[in-house]
Amino acid sequence: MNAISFASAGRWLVGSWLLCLSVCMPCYSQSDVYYVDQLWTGNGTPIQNAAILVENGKIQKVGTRDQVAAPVDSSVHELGSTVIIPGLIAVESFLVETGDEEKNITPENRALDGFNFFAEYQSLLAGGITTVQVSPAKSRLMPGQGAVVKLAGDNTTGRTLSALESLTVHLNKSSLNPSTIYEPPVGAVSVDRPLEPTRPQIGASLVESVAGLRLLMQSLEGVRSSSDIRLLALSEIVKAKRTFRMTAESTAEIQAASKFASQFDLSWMLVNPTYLNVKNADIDFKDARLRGIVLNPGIRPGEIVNPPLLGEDVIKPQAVWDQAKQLVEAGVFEKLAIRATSDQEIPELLFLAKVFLRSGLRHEQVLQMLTHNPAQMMGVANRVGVLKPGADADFVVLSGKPFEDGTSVIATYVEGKVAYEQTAPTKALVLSAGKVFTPSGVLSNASISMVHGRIQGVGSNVSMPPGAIRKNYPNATIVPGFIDAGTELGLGSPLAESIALETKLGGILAHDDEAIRFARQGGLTTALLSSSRTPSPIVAFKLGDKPRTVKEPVGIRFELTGNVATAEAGLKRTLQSAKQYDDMWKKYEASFAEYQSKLKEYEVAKKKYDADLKAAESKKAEEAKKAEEAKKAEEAKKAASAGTPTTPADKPAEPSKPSDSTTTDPAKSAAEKPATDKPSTIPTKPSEQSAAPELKEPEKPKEPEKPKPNASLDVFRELLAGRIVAVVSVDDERAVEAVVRVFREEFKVPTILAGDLPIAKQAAALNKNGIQALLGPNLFANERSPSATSSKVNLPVEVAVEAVPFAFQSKATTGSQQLPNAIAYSVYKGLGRQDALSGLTSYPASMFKLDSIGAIAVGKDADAVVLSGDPLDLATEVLAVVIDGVLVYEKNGVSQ
Amino acid sequence: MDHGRRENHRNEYRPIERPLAATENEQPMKILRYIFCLQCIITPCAFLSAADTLAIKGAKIVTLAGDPIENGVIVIRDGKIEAVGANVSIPIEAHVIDATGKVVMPGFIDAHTSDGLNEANERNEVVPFLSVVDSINPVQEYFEESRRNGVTTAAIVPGNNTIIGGQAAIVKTAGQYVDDMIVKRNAGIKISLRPASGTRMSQLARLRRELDKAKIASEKKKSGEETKPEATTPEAPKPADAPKPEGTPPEGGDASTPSSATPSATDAENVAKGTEAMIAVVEGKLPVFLYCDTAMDVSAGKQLVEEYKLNAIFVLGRDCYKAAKLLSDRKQPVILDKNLVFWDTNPRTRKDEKIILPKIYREANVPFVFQTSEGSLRSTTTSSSYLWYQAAIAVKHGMPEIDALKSLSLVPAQLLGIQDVVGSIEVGKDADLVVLTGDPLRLSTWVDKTIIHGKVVYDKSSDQKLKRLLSPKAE
Repeated sequence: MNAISFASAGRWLVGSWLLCLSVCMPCYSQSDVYYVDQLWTGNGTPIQNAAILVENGKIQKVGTRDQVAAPVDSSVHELGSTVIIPGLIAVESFLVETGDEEKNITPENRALDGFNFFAEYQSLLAGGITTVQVSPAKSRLMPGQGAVVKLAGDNTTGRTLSALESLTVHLNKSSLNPSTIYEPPVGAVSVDRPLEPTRPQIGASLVESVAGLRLLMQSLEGVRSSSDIRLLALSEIVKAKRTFRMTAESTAEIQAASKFASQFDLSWMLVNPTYLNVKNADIDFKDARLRGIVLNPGIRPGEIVNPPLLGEDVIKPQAVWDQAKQLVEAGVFEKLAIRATSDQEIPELLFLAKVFLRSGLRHEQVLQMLTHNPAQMMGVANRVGVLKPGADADFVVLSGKPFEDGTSVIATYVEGKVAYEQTAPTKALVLSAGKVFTPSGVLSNASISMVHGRIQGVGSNVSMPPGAIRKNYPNATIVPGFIDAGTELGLGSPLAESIALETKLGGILAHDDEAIRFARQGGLTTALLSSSRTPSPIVAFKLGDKPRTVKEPVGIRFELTGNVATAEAGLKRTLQSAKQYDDMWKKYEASFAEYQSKLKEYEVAKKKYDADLKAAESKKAEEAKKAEEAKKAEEAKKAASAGTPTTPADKPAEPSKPSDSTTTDPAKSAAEKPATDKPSTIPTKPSEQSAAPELKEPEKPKEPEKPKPNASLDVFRELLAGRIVAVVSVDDERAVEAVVRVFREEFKVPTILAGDLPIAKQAAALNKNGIQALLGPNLFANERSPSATSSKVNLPVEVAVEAVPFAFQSKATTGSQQLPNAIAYSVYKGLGRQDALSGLTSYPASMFKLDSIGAIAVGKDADAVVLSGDPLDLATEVLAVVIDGVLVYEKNGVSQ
Repeated sequence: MDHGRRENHRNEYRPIERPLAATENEQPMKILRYIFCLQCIITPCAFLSAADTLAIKGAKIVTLAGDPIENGVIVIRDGKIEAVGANVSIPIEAHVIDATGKVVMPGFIDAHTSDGLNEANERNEVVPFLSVVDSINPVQEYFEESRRNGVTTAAIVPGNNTIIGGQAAIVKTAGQYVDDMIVKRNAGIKISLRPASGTRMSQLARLRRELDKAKIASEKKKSGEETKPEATTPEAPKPADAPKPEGTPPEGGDASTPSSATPSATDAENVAKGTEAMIAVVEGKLPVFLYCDTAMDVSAGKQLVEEYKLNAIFVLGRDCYKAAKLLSDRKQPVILDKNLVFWDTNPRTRKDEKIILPKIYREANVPFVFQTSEGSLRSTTTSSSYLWYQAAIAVKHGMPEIDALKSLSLVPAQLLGIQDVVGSIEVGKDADLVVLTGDPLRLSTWVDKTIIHGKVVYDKSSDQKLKRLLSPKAE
């Protein structure tokens, strides 16, 4: 626990430090000193309490804190309880442009030409990899020459550690009958495309491949300057004594590689020797011409694969860690390197390498197989692989020791510059604006601090959370995030099927939905979704990239349309059956409570009874002893107490019965109710007591029968209890009356009416009956009165003047974005701005009992909208939207 | 609208009744148009053919060789600039163009285009012996569009879909025959780093091989050895039944039988020509138009230039901006992609960013010039990518106006090595001028006249196409 907090403290230190660095990056030229707990050089024991001095991208000094003095003008970086290791080296990769050649032998190709220096290598740098070897292709016999390059830096020449490091040769099966190659016919010959000397055909077997390679090598003898491009390239490689990097898996392949190398006196490297049997192999591992052995742990982190079963007669390969162990015993530890299973696993090299701890190697030795050893065998050790004076300042800052669980890469440096840095673990955001709307009024020039998705502080002088992102909108207004109380957003398309009331819509909301992204640009942060087929549950969710359910269900959506009488009767029936179900449960709960109190009484009585009984028995036994002594005289007495000898046999079993029921009953009821007091267990050892001669066993109370649960009706129970609301759509004034009758008068549930003109007409009735209004998508309606002055009715105003709280719904997908604009028109036509804003924020939050949203106040969810001016004014535009403390939308370049 | 167009056609096809009306300038519009139709037929160089001496007076002259001259006079004799200044007297025999209130600039130079060619790319990938001169079509729409937009000189370069695409030529944009137009015949050779077939690795491998061959040939030449075509062709005898050169052997068709000597006579000539050109390339005598498609090509290209000591002109695809810094130490202008402003997704943040090429290259201290196309098949001089629109975009994004104007003529002239002939208004240079109706780079400014070799090759007042484009109903 302590260690973790210590580590995270270190991370903080580094994090804040990185911020500083990124600011003063352009003036980089001076020297930097880094102090850490431990420094692993890459080829020796770790240095405790270490320091490293970096100047102009090169390491000047490495040692303990005392040994390395910081120059006067240097910047000092205390990295706390972190560990520095050299940048890791991926000893083999295929990070070249995709697309294989249509030829099996292309030694003239250079992987460097196919390596994109300008691509993003963040995932590799995040894994601590700074240097990679790139090979030209995987499934070709001789695909070309590999290179060693760095993954970061501006200067591509400087990033190339070795342009022509080795010639790749794949003797394994992947190069046999390679895909996408066809042998073209000789075809037309012209000056620019002359006929060239024979090239070896594509091998179908190892024998053919090796024979082809031999032929190729032998034909180098008479190569003249202007002949075959392949022979030219190959002869140059041989002349320059470059390494042949030979992938060989099976015993035969390994043997062939070794023989080939010795026949032509080649410097070579053995890659992926899966079936290498170290002790029996006819290879001189100590031979200087063997530059290195690249082992493949064959692990795919977090994945499970089925390896093929090998038959009895097949020689099983040695485990890779055993190979390593024996090679170390053979004295060639420095020739060992670890490659990733494939390119995808390169970022996990540190984890993959852990398997070599099974070889009995020390941690720093395994690290050496990822740093110094590969650098050595590829001839780039003067620059990378070891943290030593004069080498490039490529290093990785880890949160703990390498190979330890939970250790992560905090930052990766290439030539002294940050190439990767871990992003701060907490996302804190501070918004500042000219005006901030809070429940206690409009604050001017105030800030809001948001941490972990909650509002932590509001006011003119909030405390800055560490590492917080600051956003300043000088002349803007911040209002709470808008709530659309009825959308069709969230599922990718409108929901029009009838769904069961217990359906959890929150679990199937679409991630990264374009429509949501678009809608929230209007300032919406929360939306309520239901099916248009009623009754339907309503879910409230946030419009983040990953939609988050706020509450589910928040209510049930009903419809009272069409024939009012029929619809009313139908709804009444539904509610009545729900009520019956509820009553049944209420009754059960009541009787269950009664049962439990009775049970308690029973247990007390039973305990007493049992104790009494035991006492009576022991007394009886004593009496029996006495009786035996005076047998005859007590004949009559014995007959009278004939039941008692049988009771000892029954009685021990009997106490267990009530104990069973007492333990199981609360368990059963626990699902329904909070656990009741646990009845005390029955003592097994009865205390000795004198019993009364007259014993009456207490009667065990009967457990009430549990009603059959019904998930759909359970939702109704929530409604009837007033914990969620009923939203009823109406299209007629008489329907409003029906709703009042059914929902308010008869069943007394919290009710929200959705509709247009009828609601406006009956606003007074709503007020009287404590019903709230849900307006939209049309906020204006034409009055259908016979009078000549038929005009547009501004519905929100009608409702607002009767003091009925109201919310708005768009009933749209992407159109939700326009809801604030629609309301802006209502405001323009007379709706109070404050009322309108409440209708988008605080009213729906309280109507739907969503306590965490609807206002900018401490403790509430960090949802906010930054507006260029007054809210709900068409002249105002949305500058930014924050959902759960994350800036999900920002108009370009508006913040400072 | 429809009606108007039909009328149009009817008028157009009516036979020319009175060619003599050409002198009667006061005739109604209809007759005027006949004249222009006629003039269009006679091709641009027919204009003012009689006048050997031309003077332009009253204009503001942006010479690019010094401060602009207000109300200046330019005297042109025999196609060359004879005098320029504020107090220059106009010879009596001169035909005078009154350009009062207008602006005269040196003719614009398109530093890299494949328009004007019948086909931009040869299908064979290594053809250093070919020259665009054989493919230039003087009546290509490109040249007409160029004159309309003030472009008087263009470097015609083979397209980008090859390895060594052939030799470029610099031409004037007016002329009846190619030979009349040529400024510089062997102006450079096209090398493209974008894979024509296969991968970048094989593209570069093949390219290196050709350069190596050229290097060897160059050394042999220097050491006095005779450079026969055989020196660069394979030695083995050619099979009797080998097919004749057909221009396009199948892709990847590396011959797999021993090759051949005795190529046909034309082949031998071609090889000799190609070898000559490639020798000039590796000796740094012939510039290379080095096309880089992506940023990684820039670093590979730079390596090549250093390795083979090439005299390279970088022609950059739009993605190359990521490597802009690599080019800053060259100090030589690069040729930018025609798309100067576009959106690109940042791979790290996954956010779309607006990329403004002139801004990026200016910040990286890399001088640049513009091109109107990227070797595509379609002429784009009328679209938003015509040359001075490009310059205007650069000015919008912070480039000083004078630098932008220089990048239209003087800088490309220097880049192409023709600054002694064109690029500015100086005595002795070719009289390639643009008369603008107002200040350059303004939206409301038009090219009024384009003058090449002292001859008016474009006149807006007689540009029927433009007229029809602007007011189809006015017929």
